[in-house]
Order: sequence, then structure tokens, then C-alpha cells
Amino acid sequence: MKKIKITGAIVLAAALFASCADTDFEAIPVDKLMGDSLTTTYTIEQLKTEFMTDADAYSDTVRYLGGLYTADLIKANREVVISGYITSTDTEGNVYKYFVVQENTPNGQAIKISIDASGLSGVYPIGQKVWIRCNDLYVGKYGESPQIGLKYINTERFKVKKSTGDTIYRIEPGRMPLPVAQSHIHAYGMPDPSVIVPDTMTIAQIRASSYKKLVNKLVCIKNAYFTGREDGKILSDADMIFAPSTDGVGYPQSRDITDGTGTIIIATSEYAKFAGYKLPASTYRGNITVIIGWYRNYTDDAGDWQLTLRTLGDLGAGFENYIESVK
Amino acid sequence: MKNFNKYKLLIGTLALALVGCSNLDESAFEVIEDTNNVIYSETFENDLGEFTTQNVSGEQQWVYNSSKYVIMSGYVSPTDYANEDWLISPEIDLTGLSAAHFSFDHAARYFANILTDVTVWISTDYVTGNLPATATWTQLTTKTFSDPGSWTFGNSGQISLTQYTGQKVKIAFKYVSTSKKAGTWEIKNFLVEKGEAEIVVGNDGSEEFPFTVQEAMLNQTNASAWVEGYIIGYLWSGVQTTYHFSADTCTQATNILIADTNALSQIYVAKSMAVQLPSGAVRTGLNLTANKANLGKKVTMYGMLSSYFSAPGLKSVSYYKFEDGTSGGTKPIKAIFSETFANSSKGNFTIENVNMPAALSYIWTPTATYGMTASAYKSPTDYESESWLISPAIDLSKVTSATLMFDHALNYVANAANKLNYISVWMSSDYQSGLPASATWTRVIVPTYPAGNNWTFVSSGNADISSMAGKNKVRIAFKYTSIAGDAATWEVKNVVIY
Repeated sequence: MKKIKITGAIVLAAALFASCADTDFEAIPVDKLMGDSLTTTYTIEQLKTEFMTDADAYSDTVRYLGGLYTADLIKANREVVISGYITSTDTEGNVYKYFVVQENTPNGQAIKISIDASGLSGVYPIGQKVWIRCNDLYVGKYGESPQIGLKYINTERFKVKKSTGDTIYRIEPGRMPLPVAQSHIHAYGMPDPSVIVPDTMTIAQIRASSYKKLVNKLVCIKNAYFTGREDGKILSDADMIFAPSTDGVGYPQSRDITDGTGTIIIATSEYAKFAGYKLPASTYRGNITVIIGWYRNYTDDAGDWQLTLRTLGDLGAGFENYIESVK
Repeated sequence: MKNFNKYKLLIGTLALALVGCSNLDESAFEVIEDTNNVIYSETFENDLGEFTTQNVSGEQQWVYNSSKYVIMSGYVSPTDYANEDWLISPEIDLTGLSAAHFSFDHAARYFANILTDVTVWISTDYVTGNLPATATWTQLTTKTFSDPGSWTFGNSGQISLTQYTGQKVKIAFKYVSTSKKAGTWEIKNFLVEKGEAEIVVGNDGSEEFPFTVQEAMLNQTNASAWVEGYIIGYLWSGVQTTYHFSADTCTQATNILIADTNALSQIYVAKSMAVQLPSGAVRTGLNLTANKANLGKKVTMYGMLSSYFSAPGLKSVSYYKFEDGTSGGTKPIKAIFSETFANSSKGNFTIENVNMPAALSYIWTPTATYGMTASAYKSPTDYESESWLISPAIDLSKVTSATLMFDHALNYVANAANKLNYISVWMSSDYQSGLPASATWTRVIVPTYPAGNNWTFVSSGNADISSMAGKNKVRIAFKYTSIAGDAATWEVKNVVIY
């Protein structure tokens, strides 16, 4: 229904323009104004199942062969097209050089698209429907968390194989240049942020889930609050903010939240607009909407969830007074 | 100060002299304060400077860190190593001075017992390069160090050296760790200055200086202390543990939460501490189910600093008082002297073995949780022995009566009728050092002895030692004896004189 309404508005606008100026060129056909529409041929799950491998010569050990860092070419003799709606925004700097696309189907999944450009939300705002033609792109895992991009050989992370003397670099999914992204990503229609409704989950439910299915999805945790701890450690008064400076080290900073069912971390970049804001006191409780993340850096670590706030506005009902206090 | 005044006078005179004959900018004659109070300074910005290190035990050592401090840690991820390491200053000349003090910035974290593992010492006879044990060292009294909770450096506060003026001294930072727990100590900006130390009294958990909630959370020593904070809510312990910062619907009477603030926008779970309310007057007076008006009130409590709900907590609270004077429970006695013997520490007690068979290497020995333990049994033999555990000198000169209390347990007494021959408590006002026979001792009448055949600790009850009141160097001694064929085990802890 919404689509029809929008179409109507544009037709009306086109008509208005048509009536007040003589044009010596053909008006752009309405269907072209909407962008390119493709046919979806793969679900995100199918894409991952078919093309993403566990081939990680750098991280793999005798005990673990799951693949922490991978990048596999999406090579097929037919169109590999996934689709979904954008759920992320980089307007507050916490999401940087990627967007997340989520399927609005039952059991739909989500995946991160890594692009070497900032300000992506100007072109790909929340709620934008996109088709992504994945042929010749790479799908891989970064700390076990899947994303689509290109292949990146991390020359700062390597090991030398004793038997052969070969240097084995860590292979990661890397950011695709903007022109590559533009030729593979097809946005269609006006953005509608209401299409993707975050799943409501408790922290216990998140923890009990398979990260392979849940990662990158938008989730709302109710009755949640910040505890003032970082991975269980009590924060000093000076560090009682979302993300103190790491002096350029650059990894996101963990802040624990709980809803009574368990504890989980919200990870925030020191470059986020709200990085320096005072952490909400534990007396503020309510809805926290997040993009679910997962990170496993070492084969002998268990890996853990890390949640991302897209904007401070993801602290919803229950945090109104807090938002007011930091404005 | 004298120099400073001279300058002032001189500059003042100059200013007066010049003022009449030119319109020079007056600011050119600002009094420059004489800041040359520094006797010795080492920032540790570039290296260890003139400081030296002594690695008494353990592989790790004091080292310079390029982040501009010195650091000692017996923790090498993921293992704790036992260490004793000294960082020792060069000679600091205090001759010709009437008062001096020093201070430093530091951060000490993750110690098993910060009070004994992180200490500062002074010596007038230490020769640089030798092991510390080759010299006489005296521990300096500092304000109570505590884990700051982050790696932010804090100042030590000024530590007086006035007692050592006229001498040349060396100051040492002594680090101790065990294979169970190895903390990390970082130090910078060591500064020795002229003048009296301005000593800012820190909270020590006493009734006069109760711990803040933050201090209480950082000093989870399992010892009892006074803690002051605001009642801000309670913990619901069901299937889920939830922090409630309100009293409205509270039905949980067994605990409350306290914090250093009662401003709702400042309260964090991480900065609030759960307080166990034992049944009786404390629970009746404090719980938020029956006393909703207690929410937000400031309260001072006496209890044990111990983990509760898997987080730093205050347990077994026996007494509380509100700002308006309302109180409940039993107010703890104010000790003149106390020694828990907790955490394998014998405190400042000394051991004198009057008769120790060659087969034994010790009779009295500290233990982690049973206090000081005495035994002359070494499998399979009960040896004849006599060993004294003697307190440091205790000043009872300002009291007219005194009482001794302690907890003890006794086991393996072959003949229970003889137990009073084996364990006894003595007091003396003229003991100096060395063997106990050098002094006059009077036996203390101990009201309650343990049964002798189990590990149950019993309280000694109130043992009157008022005959020592008015004396300034009173010693209490725990005398253990055994005979061949009957060597019991005696455990003593929580010694209090009040």
C-alpha cells in the first residue's frame, strides 16, 4: 500500500512540474525514479551456506577448524542476488563504513555490507530496500561474524608455518570501494524504516541463540539498564561514559547492560557522537534497540556477543529523562 | 621560609626605590615565591633514575615503563608468581633540616592484601646494592592504600620524614605477591620536600572514619568495618537477580542496597553495594519492606566486608545508626588492639621457641583461615615442646581497665583433663625481646577453653587483664606446650583488647 501512495505522490509531482514549464526532454519514467528492481535469488542464509567457508589457515588450530577470519569469492554461473532493508545508520558515527541489511521474511537473517565510504546513510538510509548482486564480491568472517565485501590480506597478522617456512597471512573480508558498491547495490523505492521491526528478546534468549542466525539482526531488549561495569569490572567515575578514548588503539568499548535475565555488552566506538556522554544511571530502565554483533578473536576464546547502538535514540521508552539530561 | 621572606623584602625595597623615578611596569616586580623546597625528585619519566632494585624472590622485577612510570607485577598472564621486590631510592640527605616529607603518585591493584603487599620502608644503614635484609628497615606509616578501581594514578599523601631529619636515609617500595595472587604496583613522581607533612586522614573503616561505599567495595578483606552510605534500594533474588532502586513494592527484607549518592541520576549497579540484614534489630530497623521512608537516608553500619550476591558486599551487619541518632543492633566494642591473624599473617606478633625439637621447623605458624596454629606433632610423633606467640607492645597507659578476647580451637588432646597444662595465656609489662624467661609474666584467666577434640572455634569470653591497665608496654602471650605422646593443635585468631 505504501508503495502505491509514494508512486502517486511522484506522479503528482511530475504532473505539477510538467504543467508549469516547457521541457524539451522526456520526463524520467516513474519506474526509473524508484531505482533498480532486481529479482532475489538467494536468502542471506543460502548465500552464507553456499559460499562462506571455514578456510582460515591463519587462525585454525588442531583443536579448532571453524574459521575466524575468512574471505571467499562469490562465484556462480547464475545471478546471486540477496535483498532486504537497511537497518543501520552512520549518522552518529558509531556505525562506520558499513551498513546492515536485514530480510523482512519469517526467519530472515541479516548481514553486514562493508564499503570504503563514510556517510553511507545519505545514500542508503534506514528502511531503504536494497538488492545486492553478489557475484564477484566476497563473503567472509571477521572474528566469526559474517560480512560481504572484498578480500583483504592483513599483512600485520601472520604466522610462519614451521614445516614449509611459508608465511600465512590473515585473510579478512575487507571494504569494497564505493564504485564497486554502487555497481552491486540496487536501492529501490523510498525508505520505510517501519518495515523491519526489531525482535523483542531477553538477554538470556539472545545468549541462548545461535549467533550464526542472529548476528547482525535488529533486536529490542526490554526493561534493560546499564550496570556501570565493563566486562564485569567496575568503571571509575572518569570512565563512566560510553567510550573513553583508546588513544588510537581503536577497538570499541564495552559497557554491560542487564535485564535481570543476564548480562551482555554494548560496544561503542570512541568516535561515536555520544562516546563521551555520561552512561545512563542504572535507575533508567527501558527499551534498548541494538544491532546484534558477535566477536571471536582467538580459537581458544569462547567468542561473545557485542551489541551496537546505532544512535543514542536506540535508548527508547524508559530513557526519555536520560536523553533529555544529555541533550 | 626564611629565604622567601628575604627575597620579598629585597624586591619590595627595590620596587619602592624604583617607583619614584620611572613608570616601569609594576608587574616586573612581582614577588617570586621561593619554591625551592625540593630535596629530591624522581619522576620516573625516562628510567629508574638513581633508584635501584632488589629482587629478593621471584623472577619478576621492578622495571621502567615507557608510559613514564615504574612498575612491578608478579602477574604474567595468565599466571600469578610469588615475588618480593624492592625499589630503593638513592641516599636522601636530611641533615640540617628540621622537617621533611615525601609523596608519590601510584596505582596498586589486584593485591590479595594491599595492606601487607604494598608497603613503604626507610633505612639509615642500607648500603646500595646489598639485599634489603642486610640493613635495618622501618615501615613508614602511610594513609591506607586501597585499590583505586582503575589505572588512574592517585597521590600517596604526604608522608612525614621529620623523625629522620639530621640523617641520611634511603626509602624503599616493597612489593610482595604469592602464587595465588600477584598484584601490580605502578609508581611515579617521587618527591621529597622540606617542611612538615600535611597529613590528610583517610577513611580506615573505623567508627570515626567509616569507609565510603566505594572504599568498602575495594576493601573486601572479610574483616569487619564501619561503612557509611545512602540506602538506595534492594536486591530481588529469585530466578533472576535484579537491582531495585526504589522501596515502593519492596517485599525483600533480607537486604538493602547502599551507594555514595542518593541522586537517582547518579546511581549505578556497579557503584552500589548489597548489605545483608541478619534477622533481629538490624533487619527490623533497616529493611525497605517495613521502612519505606528509609530510602534515600544516610546510614552508618558495622559489618563484614565480604562478597554478597557475587559482588562486593557488607554482611553480618550487627549495628546501624542514622544521622538523626536512631540506631539498632549491638554496637561493637572499640578495640584498643586487634589482630585477626587472617590471610596467613602473624601481624606484629613474634614467636619464641623455648623448646623446639630438632625434628620440627616450626611450632607456631600462620594459616590462611585458621589464624595462628601451634603444634608439635610431626607424623607420627608427638614431641615435647614449648613455644610462645608474643604480641607487640600494647599501650594500656590511658585506660583503667582492659579485657582480652580471642577465638580459639583445640584438637588432638590425648587426655582432655590436661588441656589447661598445654595451652595458656600470659601477660607482661616488662618483656622486651628474646626468650620469655627474661620477663615477669602473669597468667591470664581465660573463661572458655575449647573442648580439645574438635576444630570448633570458641570465644575465649572476656578475660580480665585490668592488672595491666596504666602500663604502656603490655604484652600478651599465647603459650603452647606439649609432652612426648601428647601434642595437641591449638588455633588462635581474632585477638581483641578493649
